[in-house]
Amino acid sequence: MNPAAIYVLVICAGGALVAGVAFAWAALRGEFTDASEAAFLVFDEEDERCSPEQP
Amino acid sequence: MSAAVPVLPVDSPPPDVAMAERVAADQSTRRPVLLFFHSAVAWLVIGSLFGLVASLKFQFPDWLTGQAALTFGRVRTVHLNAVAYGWAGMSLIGLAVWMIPRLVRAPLYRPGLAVAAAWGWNLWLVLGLGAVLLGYTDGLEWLEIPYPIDAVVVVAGGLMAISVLVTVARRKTKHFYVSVWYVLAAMVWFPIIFATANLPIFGGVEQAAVNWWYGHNALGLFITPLALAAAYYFIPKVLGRPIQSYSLSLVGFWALAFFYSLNGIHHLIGGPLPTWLITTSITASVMMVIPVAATAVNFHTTMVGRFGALKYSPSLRFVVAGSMIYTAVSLQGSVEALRGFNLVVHFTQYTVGHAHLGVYGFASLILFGALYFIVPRLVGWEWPSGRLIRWHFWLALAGVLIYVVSLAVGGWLEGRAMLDGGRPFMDAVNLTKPFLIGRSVGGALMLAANVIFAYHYWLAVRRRGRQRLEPAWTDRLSRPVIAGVLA
Repeated sequence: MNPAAIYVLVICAGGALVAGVAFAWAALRGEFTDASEAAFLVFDEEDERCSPEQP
Repeated sequence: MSAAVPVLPVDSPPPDVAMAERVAADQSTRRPVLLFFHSAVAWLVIGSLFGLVASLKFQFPDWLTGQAALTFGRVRTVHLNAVAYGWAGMSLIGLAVWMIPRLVRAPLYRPGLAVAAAWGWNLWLVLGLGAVLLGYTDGLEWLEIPYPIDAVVVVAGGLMAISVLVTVARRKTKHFYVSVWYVLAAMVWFPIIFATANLPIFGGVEQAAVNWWYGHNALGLFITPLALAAAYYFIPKVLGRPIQSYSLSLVGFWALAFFYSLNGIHHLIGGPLPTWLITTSITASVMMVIPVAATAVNFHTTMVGRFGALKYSPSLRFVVAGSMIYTAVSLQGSVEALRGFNLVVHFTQYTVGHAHLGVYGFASLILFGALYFIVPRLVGWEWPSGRLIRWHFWLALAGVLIYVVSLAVGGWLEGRAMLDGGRPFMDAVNLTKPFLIGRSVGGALMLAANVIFAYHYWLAVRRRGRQRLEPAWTDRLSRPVIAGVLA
């Protein structure tokens, strides 16, 4: 096998491992369970806001 | 439109505490963010000036050939690095530094680290681009700056990452907003790809593979996530309406994380690499349709019924235009990776147009929108002129569209001509000439837009012009009736 392929494969596999661990960590700490609450973190106290369903 | 109804997260702190946290967050970021923005705007003008000079050399090939530093190879390289790392890189980092403390409700950890990072990033670019002009280069696309000088940006980037990551670690929020995910990912991904690609251990075809793995990922794992972080922040913020589907935004993020990193090898279709490697890259490129569609659908459904707000907010207008172009350029990229299409457009001007649609049409338009929102809040002074904002928007949009359409058509014809064994090579060169004039016209319009923006930026930070109580953009409009925060 071409060494270039091995380098890229190993690096990408390492990156995928990092991403996989991050994903598992996020899921285990409940990051994806109450997403509607997280959506409002973009607003600061002084901002007016409405719900997504509001026309 | 109905009146706004406050909807607070259940774990929101009392209003006075929340306001104090936001003020503390803004105060902690003011100095480093302004330094990043000042530098980025300067690099924008320098970089786009070099870009126009490079483009004009297609019409006037004997122009500025007396000095080696001003020949095409060096001028074009300075253009790429100045706009990609100087303008886009520094403004995106400044934007991340501004957003993160607001989103995690914690002041920036040691702002001095971020200030030192900004000076270090500038030093890297001055030394690196000076070296390129003097003829010292690593000779690799997106990695031209000699690797010993790259040590400077590794230190600067490390300082920046410490400041941002510790800030997030000290967060007072239970959740990460989706923009935080994108920023954190970019802060992790970029050091990995940059350090790996600069390792002096690759040679020959291996180096080509690593080079394009890096080159494409610099766009997709650094510029793209930070620009999307901005879009996910400013569209809901300006509208006063949360993103339509927060879950879908996370699908978009994780799909990008899983599919993007192999995209770059599609630049080597037809090259002497294993077929499986190329095919994997093509597959990953096509799979990018998933995160792109998730993002596009989410932005669109958030905007539905509120497109009228584009008249009132320059931030929203720039960010939405940039987001629409993100969809277009990403789908164009997926198609471009297919073998049949790539066979024609590889080695042509088409790819140059695609790159500009990404960095300027997508990322830069979003960045302009972000700066229109942030700068008045940092300097306590509204943008002085609505007219200059309007000129900036239309010149930038017209410039990039003229540029991209010219090179897409010209590049396609060029590729077809090169594939025709019965035609001499010079046919392919000569038929691109009118399209290269379109390239220079589009480039000149973008430069004009950038100069107008830089002048206006200078007026705002110097607090020049008449003091305004409301955004200048709304000069000729009736008072807006939207729920969110205008800028």
